[in-house]
Amino acid sequence: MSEGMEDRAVLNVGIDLGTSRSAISADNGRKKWVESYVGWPKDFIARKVVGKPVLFGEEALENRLSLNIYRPLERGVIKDGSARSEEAVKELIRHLIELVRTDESPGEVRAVVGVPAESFKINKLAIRKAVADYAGALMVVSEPFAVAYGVNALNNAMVIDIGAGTVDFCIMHGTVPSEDDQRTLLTGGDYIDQQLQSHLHERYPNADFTLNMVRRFKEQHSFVGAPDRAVEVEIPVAGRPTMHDVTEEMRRACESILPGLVETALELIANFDPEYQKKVRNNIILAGGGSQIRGLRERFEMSLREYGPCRVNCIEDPLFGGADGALALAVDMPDAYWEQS
Amino acid sequence: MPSQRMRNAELRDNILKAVYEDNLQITGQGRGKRRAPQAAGRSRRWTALMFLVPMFLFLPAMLNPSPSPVDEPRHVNQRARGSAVHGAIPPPPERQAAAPAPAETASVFSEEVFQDASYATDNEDLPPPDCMNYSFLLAGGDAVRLTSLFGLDVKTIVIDPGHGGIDAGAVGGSGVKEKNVTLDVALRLKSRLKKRGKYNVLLTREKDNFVSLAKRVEFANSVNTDLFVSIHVNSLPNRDVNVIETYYFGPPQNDETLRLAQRENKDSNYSIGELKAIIQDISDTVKRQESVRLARAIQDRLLSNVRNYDADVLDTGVKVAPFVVLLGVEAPSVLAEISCITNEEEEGKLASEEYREKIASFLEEGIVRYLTKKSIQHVRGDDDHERRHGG
Repeated sequence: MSEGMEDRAVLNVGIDLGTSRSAISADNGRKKWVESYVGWPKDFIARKVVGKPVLFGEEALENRLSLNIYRPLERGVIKDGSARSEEAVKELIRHLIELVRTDESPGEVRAVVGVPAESFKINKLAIRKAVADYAGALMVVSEPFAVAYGVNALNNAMVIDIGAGTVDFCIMHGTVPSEDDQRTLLTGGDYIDQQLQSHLHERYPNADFTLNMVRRFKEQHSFVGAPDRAVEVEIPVAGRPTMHDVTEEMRRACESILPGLVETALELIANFDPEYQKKVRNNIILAGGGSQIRGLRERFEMSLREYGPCRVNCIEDPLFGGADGALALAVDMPDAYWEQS
Repeated sequence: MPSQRMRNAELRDNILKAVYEDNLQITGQGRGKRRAPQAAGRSRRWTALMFLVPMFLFLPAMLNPSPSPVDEPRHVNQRARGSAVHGAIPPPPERQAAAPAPAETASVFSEEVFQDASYATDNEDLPPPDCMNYSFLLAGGDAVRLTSLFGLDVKTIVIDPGHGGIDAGAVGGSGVKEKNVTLDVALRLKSRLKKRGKYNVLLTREKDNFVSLAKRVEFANSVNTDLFVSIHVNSLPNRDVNVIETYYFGPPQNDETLRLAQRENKDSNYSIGELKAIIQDISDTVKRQESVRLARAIQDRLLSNVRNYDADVLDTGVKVAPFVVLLGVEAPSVLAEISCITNEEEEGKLASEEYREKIASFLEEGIVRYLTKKSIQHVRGDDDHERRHGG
């Protein structure tokens, strides 16, 4: 903890503002996460039904028919010119901070917010504005960088954050990564959902399912490589619950992100100083929800091994990896920097 | 030798400082990369740059008529060299008084260029800049991207769906028309880029109507576009072939590109005099640099992705040809031949909405790749080691 922090009675928080899920870690030991959905009642009747002026996460999804619902960072950036999406980011931040505050928490909040790399490039000012109302001092960083800081992968390492909207690559070489050290692909979790939905439509044209159902199937059964067991899910057909074997479709959808992962990782490594490429190859870290796909780490490592020895690891806690890293930044940041931020 | 722990602590300190400085820049308090306020006018940024580049080159020569060439030391890293160039722009105070720059130039310099000059002067470790040596800047096309150097970024993108109205373009064996494919792909591309929330995306035509090439160029320039992407579909005598190629403006490289340019330039509505004037008007360093990069990025993404659907697709790469539509637009501009309509299988695919959406997404990928790499690029070499490892 930086000098004088306790005297100043500050609550440090690290926020991972994600496309699909947002998480917060605070230095009072509290950690919370929420699905990145924000919903406002459509009219005064809906307002009476849901009983709240704004709903978040799972609760918003459950009441979605009564709400105007927003997933503000879809595809990794604040959606096109939508004031409502900016407002949704603001509400989400407020909600997250409230989740970790206790009655004993100090009034002043210092926040480091990790955002998808694309959003960091495009929306960082908007995100700063959104957070400003709820934090006395704040800094915005790119998500993979926050992860890297949190796991102390500061030098000769590559972090690949497989999120819902984007896959963010970041090479660390002892300083804040520049744009040349980062890449973003749009083939994240949402892309897998679309692939899976399309494969399922093709194989089971009569089955009746939504993208939300597909997302749930993926979260429960995603895998690459050889399946441990058949994947069967319940999908209604003409109103009747029916079991469907989706093993092959699940494998194809999940494996669809592999070529991009391998190609981009190799490209970034190839651009790195040749003397240090070996170190980077042996220090690749997978983060984000996508890193939990069964068998992904092994298949990715196997593919990279065709180009030389390498080691790929997953961070221990993909859900809070970004928020914990952002919190570490907030805590380590000298007071002098905060005062001028 | 410092212990690992000390090294780590030092690394962290450096990183925390960099995060802090980065955030200062976001809020506009940073000293390095603040951009000119909107009120100062982004209008005609390309034109301003065309004016700026010659000033950039000749102002020091005017101030110091007989500079002795000094070889830059090899150990100076490229970032320092790039910054040294920035540092070279403001003349020393006594010379500034003796030779004031024209008002327009001075205002552009003060907003766009001077701010980065602090880098060189604030880094005492660096050797003094060689103020007269611009060879690094101009040597080859790839040494430094002038757009990055001058902090230009992309706000408006014009997409140009080829042909339209009475001009159907190429027509496939089953009757699929180039004009319809290009319009549909362009509309999809527009929608995809708009979703990114950062760009003002405009089309030269939004429906099936005839627009002359001159009008397209006029439109692109009138909206001060920062990028121009013209979409076309190839047609070839050999119906077995599918080919993807991306062009930027330049003299024809062979008969084939000349013929293609003649076909696409039909109905340009430009007189010979106007054409000459346009050609003379080109201050093409920046435009060419950026057009090549944009063309490479689009060709790369289009080809890699289309190969998933057609393993035999031919890659004829990035090409140069004198397309009128690329000549007249002041911004970096490319013409992408996204497919080959005379190939039966390809025509079938182009008729499907899903494939056209894919093509739009591949173009988007190419454009985004180009945009996300829009930072100062350095010549790789010995100096990279220093740059990456804090040397």
